[in-house]
Amino acid sequence: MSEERLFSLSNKWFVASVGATAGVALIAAFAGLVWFPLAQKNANLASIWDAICSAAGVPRVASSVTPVPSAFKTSQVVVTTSILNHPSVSAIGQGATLAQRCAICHGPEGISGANAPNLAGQPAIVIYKEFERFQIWRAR
Amino acid sequence: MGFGYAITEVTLQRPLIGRKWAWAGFILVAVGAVTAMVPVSLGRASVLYTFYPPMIGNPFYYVGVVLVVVGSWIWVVLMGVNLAAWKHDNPGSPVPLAMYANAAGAFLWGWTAVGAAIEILFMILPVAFGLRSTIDAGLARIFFSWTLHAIVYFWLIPAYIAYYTIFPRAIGGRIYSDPMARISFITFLVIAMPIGVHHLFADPQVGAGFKFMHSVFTALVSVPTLITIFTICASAEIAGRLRGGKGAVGWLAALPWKNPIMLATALSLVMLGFGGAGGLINMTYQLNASIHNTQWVTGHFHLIFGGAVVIMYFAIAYDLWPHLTERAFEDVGLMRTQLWLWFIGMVVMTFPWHYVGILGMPRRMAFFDYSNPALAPEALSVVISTVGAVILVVSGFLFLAILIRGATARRVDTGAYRFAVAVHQPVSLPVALNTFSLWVALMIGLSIVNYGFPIAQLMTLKNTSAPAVYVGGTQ
Repeated sequence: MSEERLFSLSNKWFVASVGATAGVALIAAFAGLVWFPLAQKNANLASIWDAICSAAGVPRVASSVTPVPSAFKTSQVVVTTSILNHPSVSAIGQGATLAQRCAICHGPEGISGANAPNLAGQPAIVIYKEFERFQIWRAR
Repeated sequence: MGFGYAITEVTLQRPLIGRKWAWAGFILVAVGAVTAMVPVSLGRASVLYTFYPPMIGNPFYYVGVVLVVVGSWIWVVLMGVNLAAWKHDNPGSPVPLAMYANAAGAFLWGWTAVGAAIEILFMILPVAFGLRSTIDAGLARIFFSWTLHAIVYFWLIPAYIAYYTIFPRAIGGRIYSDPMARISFITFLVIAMPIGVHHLFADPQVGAGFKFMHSVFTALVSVPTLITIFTICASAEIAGRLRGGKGAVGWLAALPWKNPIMLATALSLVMLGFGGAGGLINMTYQLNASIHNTQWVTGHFHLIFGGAVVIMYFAIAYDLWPHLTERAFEDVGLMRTQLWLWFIGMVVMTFPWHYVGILGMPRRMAFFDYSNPALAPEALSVVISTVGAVILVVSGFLFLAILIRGATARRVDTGAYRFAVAVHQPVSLPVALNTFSLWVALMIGLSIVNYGFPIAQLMTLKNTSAPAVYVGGTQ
C-alpha cells in the first residue's frame, strides 16, 4: 500500500476527487459568472467579459456624463467618530437638564407618544449632528 | 480539544506526545477566554460575535480571541504530530476511524481560523490600538466569513465522531461502513471551508457570481450529511437485527431506547433534520433575502448547534465520564430526563424564533419597542421561546448534577474505553482514505478559487475604508 502514489493520474481517488471538485467549481462559476448575468434582460451587458466583471463585483466605471455639482452645501456640520469620546461631567449634567424639554414630545425614554420621531436607539453622534445643524439654521 | 486528546490516547493506544504543549494550549485558551470576556462583561466590547467592523471594541477583547486561537492551533499541531508519529511506527496500517475524523476536524480548524486571525491581527487590532482610524469593513467581513461558516463544522465534527464511533458500540451494533465514514469527514474538510460568503448575501462588497458559487458548495455539504444519516441509520438497523428485531420496521422496536446514547442520537438526528431544512433556506440566495439577519437565523443555529450538536456532546460526556472517574455511572433515568428536557427546551425555544424571523423580527437589536402595535403578533412567540430557554437552563443544571453524582459514586472497574468497529473492519485502505495531503490541498485550492478574487479585489480597491466607530473603547 505504501507504494501507492496519491498525487498521480493513475490514482482513481486523486482523479475523481480533483475532477469532481474542479468540475463543480467550473459549472458553478459558469452559471454564476456568465449564464445568470447574461440571462438578466435588464442588466445591459455588452459582452461575456462584461457579464463576468459585473458578477464578480468589479465596480463599473461611472458614466461619461459629468456629474452636476451641487449649488449649495447640504450641511455645514463636520463630525468625527471620536468627537463625543471624552465629555465633561458638567456637559453631561447640562445635557440631562436640557433633555427634559425633548421628553415632552419625544417621550421620557425616547419613545414618542405624540407622533414625534422616536429617539431611542439613535447613536449619540446622530443627535449631536442634528443639533449642530439646528443651531446653524437658527443663526441664519 | 479535550475530546481530541482522549481520542488520540484511546485509539492510538499510546501516551500523548507533547502533553506539556497541550497544557500550554489549554492555559492559552483559558486565559484568552477570560481576557476577552472581561471587556465584554464591562460593556466595552459590545461588537458581538462577528466583530462587526467598523465597530471597534476594547483591544483586550481581540487580544483574548487571538490567545484562544493560538491555543487551539497548538492542539491542531499536536493532533498532526501524534498522527504522524503513529503512522511512522505503523506504516500502512489503517488510522483508526475516530482519530482520522478527529484529525480532519483539527486540520479544518487550523485553516479556517486563518481568516479571523488575519482580520484581527492586520485589520482590527491596529485600529483598536489607535494606530489607524479607518477600517475596510467589507474586506474584514469577508475574512470573518472565511472562519465563520467552517467553524460550525469544526463544532459539528465531534458530534459526527460520536454518531459513527460511539453510537453503534453503545447500542450493541457495528458501523455499517468505515470508508463511507471517512468519505463523509474528508468531504467536510474540503467543502466546508469555501462557502462562508453565504453569510454575506446581503453585503454589497461581494459579487453576485461569487455568492452563487459559495451557495453551490454550501448545498454540497448536504452530501456528507446525507451519507452520515444513511450510515447511522444502517448501523442502527444492524444493532436492531442483532438484538432480534425482525421485519421492515421491527428492528426499530428492538433498539435499546432506554440507553441515553441511543436517545441522544435519535433526538439529535430529529433536530439535525429540522435545522438542516432551515439551513437549505439560509443558503439559497433568493430565499435568504426573506430571513437574512432575522431571528430565524438565531433559531437555526441554536437548533443545529445548541440542539443537534450539543446533545451529542452530552452523550460523549456520559460515555466518557465513568472512564475518566472510574466510578459507576448509574443515573440512566436522570440522563434520559436531562436529554428529553434539552430536546423539548430547544424545540420550544427555536421553533417560535424561526416563526418570528419570518414575521421580520431582526436579530441583534439593542432595543425593542414592545409597546409598538406592529410588534404585537411577535409577542406570544417570544414568550413561548422564553419558556423553552428556562427548560434548557434546568436541563443544563441537571447535566452538571448528573456528572457530579457520577464523580462521587462508588468505585468500579470500568475497563478500557473503546470506539465502535465496523462490520468489515478495514485491513488496508486506499492511501487517499488514510492520509490528508490530497484533501488539505483541495481545501486550500478551493478556498483560493472561491475567496481569492473577492479578497484580492477589495485589497487593491482604493477608498473602501470607513471611519472606525469605537464602542466603549478608550479612544
